[in-house]
Amino acid sequence: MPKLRLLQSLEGHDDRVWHVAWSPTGDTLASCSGDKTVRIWRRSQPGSDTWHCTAILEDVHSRTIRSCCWSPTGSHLATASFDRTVAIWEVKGAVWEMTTLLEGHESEVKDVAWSPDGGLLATCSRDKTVWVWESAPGDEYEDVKTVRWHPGGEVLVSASYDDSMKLWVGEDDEWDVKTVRWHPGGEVLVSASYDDSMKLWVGEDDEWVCAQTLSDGPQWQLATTLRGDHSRTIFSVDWSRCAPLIASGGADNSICIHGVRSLFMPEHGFQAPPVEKLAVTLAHKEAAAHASDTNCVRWHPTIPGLLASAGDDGILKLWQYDQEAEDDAS
Amino acid sequence: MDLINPSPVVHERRATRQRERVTNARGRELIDNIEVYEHVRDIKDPEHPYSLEQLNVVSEAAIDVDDEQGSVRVTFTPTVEHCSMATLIGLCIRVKLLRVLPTRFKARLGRVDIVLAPGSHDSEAAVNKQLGDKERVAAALENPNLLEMVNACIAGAAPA
Repeated sequence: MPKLRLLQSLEGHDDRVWHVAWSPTGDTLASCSGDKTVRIWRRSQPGSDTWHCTAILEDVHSRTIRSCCWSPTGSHLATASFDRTVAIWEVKGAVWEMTTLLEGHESEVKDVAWSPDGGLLATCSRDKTVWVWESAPGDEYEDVKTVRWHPGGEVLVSASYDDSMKLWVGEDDEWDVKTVRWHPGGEVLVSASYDDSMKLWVGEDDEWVCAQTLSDGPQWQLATTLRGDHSRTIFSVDWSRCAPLIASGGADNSICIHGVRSLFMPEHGFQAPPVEKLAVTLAHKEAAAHASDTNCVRWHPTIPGLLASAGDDGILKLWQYDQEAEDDAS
Repeated sequence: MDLINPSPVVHERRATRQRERVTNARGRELIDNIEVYEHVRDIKDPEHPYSLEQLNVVSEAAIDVDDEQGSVRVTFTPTVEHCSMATLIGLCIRVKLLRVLPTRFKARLGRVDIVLAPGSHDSEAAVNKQLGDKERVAAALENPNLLEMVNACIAGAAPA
């Protein structure tokens, strides 16, 4: 029995799907695509195992929608587009409405993230800036800060965020770093880059609320580099909140599930282990998860092992990773 | 407008090479470097009314194909080392292959690699990085002006 079971393929997008995002409660899934739309997916019936598209958000963005992010309450969805804008969508009941369009970036907007309290929104763009927007009464947003990349290019700059925050960095030693995800506990960072590797970083004090250099140094240590699991660029990585697992997806069409053995020990809670004990091993590789690049992998926030993926084949897939089967096999 | 390379060396368009077709165990005819070359050699140079073949920008020998693995690598050589059109040329090659190759070649990026010949360009690393960046290529193809230029080049050089 496969350890990673395909539950359902969700079709509908007319172009590659770049990103998927679970709502905070996990009852809704949002996906965004090169077809300039966002699709909203929910269970067909409460408790049902099948999902279907309940809404299509369109006619706002004129180019690729690269990324989307739920507000912490799940009432709003922010979408980042290559058309240089970020849209804020609000859902009331089942009705979606675009309430605010954030303009200011000079080039493609690549990513967007809410702060944990929903008061701030961070966006980053090919124009090499990160903007932080503050929500004001009446669906108004003001830009409060512009952060620039360090000219050297190998430095991470960002605003202060904790676990749910996603950051983008310029370059590490040699390669584009494509994506970064915090461990839910906030002590460990995982990054993926164009050199086909994943790297785990451990912060050693609380000073990471401000910009820091993510190179091996006194405050951040490169805990481990995972190489060889993916044969091509890794586009997406995600920590599970429910299990000691990292999922990754990339240009080799695959999804990899990595076990993080010494993390999430119940007695330690989310505390990060010493760097030398941070052991990550490949638990499962689904070689042909998508017919083309796997662009995004995201664990469900509450259901252990439930994973959503999105690909260049225009399809979203829901998977169930069964750790029991893993343990039985080994 | 001043041309970047005002007087390029122009070569003859060669006859299509006939060669033995190779099939795999399942009877599928394998795509080889000569077939890929046929797809890219008539792409027009952005600056001159000549094809990439006539300007020696592409050659059969600089194309590597592994049909079973689904990979293609096209190494191209601009006519001058400071050619500001290098990225556009690479984009044209990528888009043409994206349109003609079967999906197993991951023509939507991935296993189709378009790179500059080593030492052929002042900004070799930067151009290669841009051509290999999926998001950059996707964004470029959403730019109507750029897409128009790409389509014009792909439409081919005027018959000599």
